[in-house]
Amino acid sequence: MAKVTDYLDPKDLARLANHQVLAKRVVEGFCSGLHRSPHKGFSVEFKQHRQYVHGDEIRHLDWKVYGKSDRFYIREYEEETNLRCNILLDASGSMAYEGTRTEGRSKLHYASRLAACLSYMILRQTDSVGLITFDVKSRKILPPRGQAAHVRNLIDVLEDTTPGGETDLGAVFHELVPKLKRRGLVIIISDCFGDLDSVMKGLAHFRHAKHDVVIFQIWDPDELDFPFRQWTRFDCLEIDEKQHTVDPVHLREAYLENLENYREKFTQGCHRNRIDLVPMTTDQPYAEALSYYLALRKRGGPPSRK
Amino acid sequence: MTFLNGILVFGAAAFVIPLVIHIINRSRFNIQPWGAMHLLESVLRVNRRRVQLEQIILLIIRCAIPILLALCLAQMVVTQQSTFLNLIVLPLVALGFLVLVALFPSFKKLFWSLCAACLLYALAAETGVIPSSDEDKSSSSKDLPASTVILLDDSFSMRVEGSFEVAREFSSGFLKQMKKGSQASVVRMGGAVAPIFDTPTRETEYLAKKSSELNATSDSIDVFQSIDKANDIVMEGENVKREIILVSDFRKADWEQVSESLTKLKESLQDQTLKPVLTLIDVGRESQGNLSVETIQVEPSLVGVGQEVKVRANVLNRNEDESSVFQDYEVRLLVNDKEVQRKKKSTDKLNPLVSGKLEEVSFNYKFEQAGSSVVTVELIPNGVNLDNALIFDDRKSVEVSALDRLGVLLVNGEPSDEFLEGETDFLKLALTPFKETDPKEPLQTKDFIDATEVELSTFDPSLHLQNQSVVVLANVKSLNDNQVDALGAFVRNGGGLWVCLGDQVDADWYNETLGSEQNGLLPLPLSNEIKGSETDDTKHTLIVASNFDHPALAIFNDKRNGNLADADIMKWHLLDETDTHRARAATVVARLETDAPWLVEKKMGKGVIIQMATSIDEEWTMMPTKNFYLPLVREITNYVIEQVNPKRNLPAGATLIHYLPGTQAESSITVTLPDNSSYEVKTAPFGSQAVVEFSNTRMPGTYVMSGKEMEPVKFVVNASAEESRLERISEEEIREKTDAILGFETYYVDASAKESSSGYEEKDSALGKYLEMDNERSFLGERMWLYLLAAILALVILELILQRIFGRVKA
Repeated sequence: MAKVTDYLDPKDLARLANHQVLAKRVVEGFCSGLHRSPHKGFSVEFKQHRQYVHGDEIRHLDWKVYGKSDRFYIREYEEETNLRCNILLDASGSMAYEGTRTEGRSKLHYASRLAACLSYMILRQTDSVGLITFDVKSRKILPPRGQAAHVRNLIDVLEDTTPGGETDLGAVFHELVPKLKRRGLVIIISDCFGDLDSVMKGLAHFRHAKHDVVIFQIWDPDELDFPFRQWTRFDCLEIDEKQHTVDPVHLREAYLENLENYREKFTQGCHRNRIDLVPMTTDQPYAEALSYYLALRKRGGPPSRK
Repeated sequence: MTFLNGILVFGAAAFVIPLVIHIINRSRFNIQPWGAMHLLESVLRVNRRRVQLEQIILLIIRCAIPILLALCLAQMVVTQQSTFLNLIVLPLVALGFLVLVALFPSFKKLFWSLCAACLLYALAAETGVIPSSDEDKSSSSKDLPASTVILLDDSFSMRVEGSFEVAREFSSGFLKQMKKGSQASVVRMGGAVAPIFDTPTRETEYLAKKSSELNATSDSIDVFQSIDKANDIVMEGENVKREIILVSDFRKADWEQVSESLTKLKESLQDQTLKPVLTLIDVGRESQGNLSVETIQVEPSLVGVGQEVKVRANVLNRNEDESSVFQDYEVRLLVNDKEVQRKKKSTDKLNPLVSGKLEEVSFNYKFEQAGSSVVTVELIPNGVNLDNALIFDDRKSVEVSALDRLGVLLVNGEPSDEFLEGETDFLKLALTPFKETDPKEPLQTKDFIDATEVELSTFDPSLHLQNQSVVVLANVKSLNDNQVDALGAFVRNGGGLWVCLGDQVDADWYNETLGSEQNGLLPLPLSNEIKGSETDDTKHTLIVASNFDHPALAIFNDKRNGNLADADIMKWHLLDETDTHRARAATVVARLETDAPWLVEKKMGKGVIIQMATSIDEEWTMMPTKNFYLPLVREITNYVIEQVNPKRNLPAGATLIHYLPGTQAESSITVTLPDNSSYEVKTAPFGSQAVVEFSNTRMPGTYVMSGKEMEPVKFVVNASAEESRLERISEEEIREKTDAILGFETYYVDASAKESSSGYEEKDSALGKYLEMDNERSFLGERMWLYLLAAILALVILELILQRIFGRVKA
């Protein structure tokens, strides 16, 4: 059984302590909370006090508590909606890539930790989080829950996830949209390799279902700068028979150009669908990238691309 | 297409290096599991063929560079334009189109077609499917630097009417006018073929100076050996224009010899594609006739001090006109260049010299002192010398070593107190007849053979072998090991051993010890059978006295000296010839009528062994009672001694050899040549002795070896009598010989006409005529190194550029 600290590094969590994962669009939830709900609730049953953080509306401040304790607390009510967040983790073969500069950590390793971290943050702000792992289709679906102990279930699923199989993001997205009945935040952690048109259609499907979609696109540095010099046989991680023996020096420029095109088109597609695309490289500490992104998101700025 | 430096063509095999590197690179690839295959695959889909093509192009260029470099270094010479076009130019052009295919893919069909067309055309033309032009690649001779070998005839015959001066003038003039980049070598042909410098030189001015110092002082030439040598030298030349210039007087005698070198020359010319041209410069002069001393002979061959010897000389009138008779002449005898006798027509009734008929003139002479002397016979024609074109051959010399003592040790195996009953008594009498007949009388003819008799029981090698030249073992039963070892060393160091058999002989000991492989002192083993009978006449036999080829018995070809078949042979040891290995090493000199060997010879080390199947006394044969006995034993003894003494009358080019006591090893000996120049030669140890060798004997005449602790030794090097034959060979005959035998392209320049004193112009000289001829000819083949070098540079630059361009692959 995996330890929680294997996935959640206290240092990273400390760094992200002041951040919240907020939905930018109106999402549906069972409870009223941080996020704007399309349902107008009458129940004003008090649920709990929560410490004020920067950005909270001042009108929710409990001035009585302030008067007693001289501290800012927010009153939270049951009917305030909470966020239902689904993390979609790509566990296809291509995520098994271990680069030459990442000390044996695969892209899936990186993605799992990112997923765990996000889940923890979401649960911490009393929203509910679910996890779906997939390759050509969904493998394991862990429905969103709001209990703090849910993180344990999530980590167990992450632990059991091994990379393998092909990717068909478009098909997986189409399959999942009907399963996510309520509008919410969909976080896709994937390298997004595959037919770009099919992927964009899948993403558009999510948007059509009024989900707020964020894509964390995981890259290995090798995939971005193609550093190979000697004759190399590239064995496909997804299909065993697929092998190409080439002189990488001759192909490097073309590859990089091809990569640039792909990323350009993908970024444009995401932009068109108002999806946040957060590219991350496995040699970069995810907490750093995540905190940068979350801060930016809170300010309502555009998604960054590093 | 051929190569001036053919061996370097194999360097083209270096093309495998880039190929191997490429294959190794391909086979030693890294394995990389890869996720972003969709990005790679789309690149590969577009570029795979293109990358493959580019890699093939780079590989072809990298392989072509070492091939072209090897061709360049091997100095490729193209004889036919079409070959160069098909094998070099068109493939390179095809490569160019292939590069264009890679660079401009939009026109790739066009460039592919052009590339294929070039290759197909080259292939078809080279295999003869398409007739290609057979235009030869040739260059005008006068514009080309040349690799030339001048064969200069410096034999005596070139002295006729200043032929050699013309040859020398031509040679130095030719060398001075040679083009920059030319190489030349001057080879003297007379006597032994000798180049002035070992290798061809570009310093033609210096070579011209050297060749102008030469003189015609050598023996006759071997034309084909000289051409062979010149061919060897000229084939090392670095120029396309390769020429052998033979400057000679073209005497018939020189061209009639068909030597082994002709066969060798034919063989070496067989595979030679770029044959040199042969230019013959005839500088010979017609002559009326020539008188010469043809031969000189001293009899007997071993000369003792005080012994009267006969010097016979043959003189000849070599006038081509058969009716020519030369009347008035004198002949004189010189010993060590001092006149000792002279014969005149008036007093000595010398016969007139009829053309083509040998006339013998003989002198009697006694040597008063022991040592090496040179005996010369000189013919002095009186009156007009028009009939005597060559003066050098009017005298001929021979070296004579007069001996005051010649030690012969007779080991008596069956001594007896009674006169003539001992085994060696007859032999000693025959070897020293004058001493034995009347020892008290003062000798008129000195008996220079000093025969010492020793009984077998008292034979002590350390004592008795001192100062002996020949040892005779007469009916010796056996010897002890010490004696055998001493005899072995004696023979190997140049002693003569004469083994006579008899009834005392222990055949087993002879076969096992004396004739053992280690000692080898018995030419043929003895079979244990003694043939014949002393009493039964029917079992007697005779020596087969037919014509003797062997010099030891040649004297008996003249029956006046006795007939070997006169003496009955009663008993004899049967010599075993069945061991072919041993029989090959031995020569049977004479046989008995039963076909059994009688006299056998074997050479060992520097010495010689004679084996006689019978006894030397009268016990087994009647020989001692016959008149041939004395000449027989003396001739055998003389023969043995002659064999063990190095020859001192030699043909030109032979090596002078002289043995000295071992104490003189590593000492310095001076050799004085006929022209009075001298060389210092070091003696080398040779067994227990020291040996001096001197090979530079191209010049006929007297050579003297002298040193600190030695008497001067004289050697006579004789010019061939053929040099006196001055008949000339015609141009047609020369052409016939050179064309038919050698297949050379031959040019003939006739400079034999005497230059008239008036109206002489430079163009009439031999060189002028040669240059006039040279202006009109052209040479097959063109050196291609410059074009190849340019192609290599272009390929290197192209490779660098393409490597950069091909890195940029389209997405």
